[in-house]
Amino acid sequence: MKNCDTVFCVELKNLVKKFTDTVAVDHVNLEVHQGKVFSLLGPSGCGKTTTLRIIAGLETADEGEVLIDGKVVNSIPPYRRNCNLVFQNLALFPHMTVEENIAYGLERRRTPKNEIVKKVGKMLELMHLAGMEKRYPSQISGGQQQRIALARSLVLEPKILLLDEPLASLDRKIRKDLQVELRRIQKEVGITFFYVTHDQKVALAISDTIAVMRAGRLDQVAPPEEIYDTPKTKFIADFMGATNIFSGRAKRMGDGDVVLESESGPKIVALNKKEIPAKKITGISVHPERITVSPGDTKSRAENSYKGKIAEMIYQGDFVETKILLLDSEDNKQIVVHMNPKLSQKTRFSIGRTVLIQWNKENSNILQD
Amino acid sequence: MGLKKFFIKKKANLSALPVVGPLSIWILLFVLMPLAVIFIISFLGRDITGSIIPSFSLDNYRLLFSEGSEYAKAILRSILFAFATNVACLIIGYPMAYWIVKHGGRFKPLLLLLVIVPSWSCYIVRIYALKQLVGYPGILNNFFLKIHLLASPVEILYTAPAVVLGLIYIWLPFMVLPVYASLEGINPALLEASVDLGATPAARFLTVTLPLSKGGIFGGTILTFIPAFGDWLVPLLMGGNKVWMAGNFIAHYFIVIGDLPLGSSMTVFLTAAIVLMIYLCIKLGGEEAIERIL
Repeated sequence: MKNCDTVFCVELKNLVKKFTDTVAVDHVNLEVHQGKVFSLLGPSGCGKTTTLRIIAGLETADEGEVLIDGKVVNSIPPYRRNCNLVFQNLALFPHMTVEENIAYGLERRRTPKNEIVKKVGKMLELMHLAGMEKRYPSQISGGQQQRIALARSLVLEPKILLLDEPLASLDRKIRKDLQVELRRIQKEVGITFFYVTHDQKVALAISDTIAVMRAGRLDQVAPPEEIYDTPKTKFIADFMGATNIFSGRAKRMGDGDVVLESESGPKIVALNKKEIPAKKITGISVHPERITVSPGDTKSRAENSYKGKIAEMIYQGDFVETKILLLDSEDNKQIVVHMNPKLSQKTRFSIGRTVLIQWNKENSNILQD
Repeated sequence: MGLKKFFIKKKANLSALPVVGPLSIWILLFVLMPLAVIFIISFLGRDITGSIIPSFSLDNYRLLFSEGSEYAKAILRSILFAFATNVACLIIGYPMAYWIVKHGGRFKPLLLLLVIVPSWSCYIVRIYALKQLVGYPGILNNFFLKIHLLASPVEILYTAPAVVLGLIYIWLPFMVLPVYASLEGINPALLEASVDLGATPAARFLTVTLPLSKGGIFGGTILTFIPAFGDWLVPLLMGGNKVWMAGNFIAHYFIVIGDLPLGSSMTVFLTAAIVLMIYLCIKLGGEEAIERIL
């Protein structure tokens, strides 16, 4: 085993890729640790797929270096790179059986026949697909095709497996099952995964590290909890579902807190754990599920406590998405709260009712872009 | 199945009638009926004046394949020529289609048009143009004689190779188009996937591109082998009455000799052979072969 801290599985140095009129990848630097799941998350068109294709060797970088296992691979053709790609639309060979699809890469490497049979069998077992050997891709379900695509790449035991939104085309239930499956398989084989997606839920569920990409640049690279709890920019906050975003100027208070004078009116207190200079702070975000709603109209003494009027309630099953109009806001700011359905029933909340909302300063996340 | 469902089904059938109806009548009147007439005549006899005698026998067919029959030889020759044409069209047409798909870019429609447009002009004019090109005196011969690359003129006109050359020239576009369609239909991600899995460009072609263009190849085969097999104008013009194919015999017996029953039996045999060929192509090339020729 190589020392993971010194040699990264994949390293990108100042990567740049330009298309005729746009910069798809703009000076990207990143390191992927051996044996981990690294997700590149971003909206469509942000350059994430291009980055992936450059690592795979299907595109060439205009500037910068791609290192796999510590070696620069810029000029090595894709069929000699020790990495494999699972395509967005899977790209299973329609004229080959499941077995032939999985064996394809091994045959190209001239692996002995008996070894191919052994490895393919092992893959089918790992993917819970035994008995499907002789079927064609068109004869199996979407979820099974997914696993074949995965098996076809994994059987080659690459240094790194690149996945291009392979779950995007599946329906919700299967997607969730496969997420768990993907994580299990990754743990079992121990191969590094480089996962490209626009679905923040998938990224949160399967990743060790998430890099959020916007317009060709990386906004933040951090573990999932950190990306979710403390998104660095408005863009990430919005992308991760922290829909309550306040812009404004911040001031230092005693004991490490800051207070934001938001453009909407309310003053918002936040815990400044990282001691970010007040000058750099541009806003605060709050996740909808971290806000509590209580009946009554007397303002409490707790921090970040505001009066509001319920403007909209949308039942979502596991929560009620409630939009609350802030009463002392200058621009009719609405706050989104995810309420417990049981609670909302018990307290008989309804549209038009005046309520009190509150969240703790630990739940105010500081934004700086 | 309920009565309601039956009626709904009936209604659907009726609504398709205006579309399918005239077409069916057309096929019935102008394709199946003449074939049936030819089929019946092929079993009849004729007297010295050439009029048909209604006496049913297999004599015509026996005559076709009696020893030393020129028709049987012409059938074999037709198979050979059609096969040569087909293989040559594939060897020339496949790389052409491949190149257009891969490097055509925004000129694809234009390049395809260049392939198709000649086949819109008159068949006979094109054959005469080809004769001007390869004959002697002709453009190519004159040119190579002038630059002293040839000592004496190459006279291929009115030989078997000339006939095959003519057939290739006429039928080539019909190989390029179906192959083009099948190559264009290949998902580019499949090619990338094969490279990603370690295939060299040559391996990629043999394991992915070629098998996935099978439908186009067999579709092109239907469209080149079969017309070449039944062709009679090209052998007439390029072969100058010296190299006869099966079609020439049929024309000869119908038009020159006026022996309709014998000519009909030749036609029936040729048609049967062609139907068998189409069946084989579809069987080997799959449904895609039919799709590609439509």
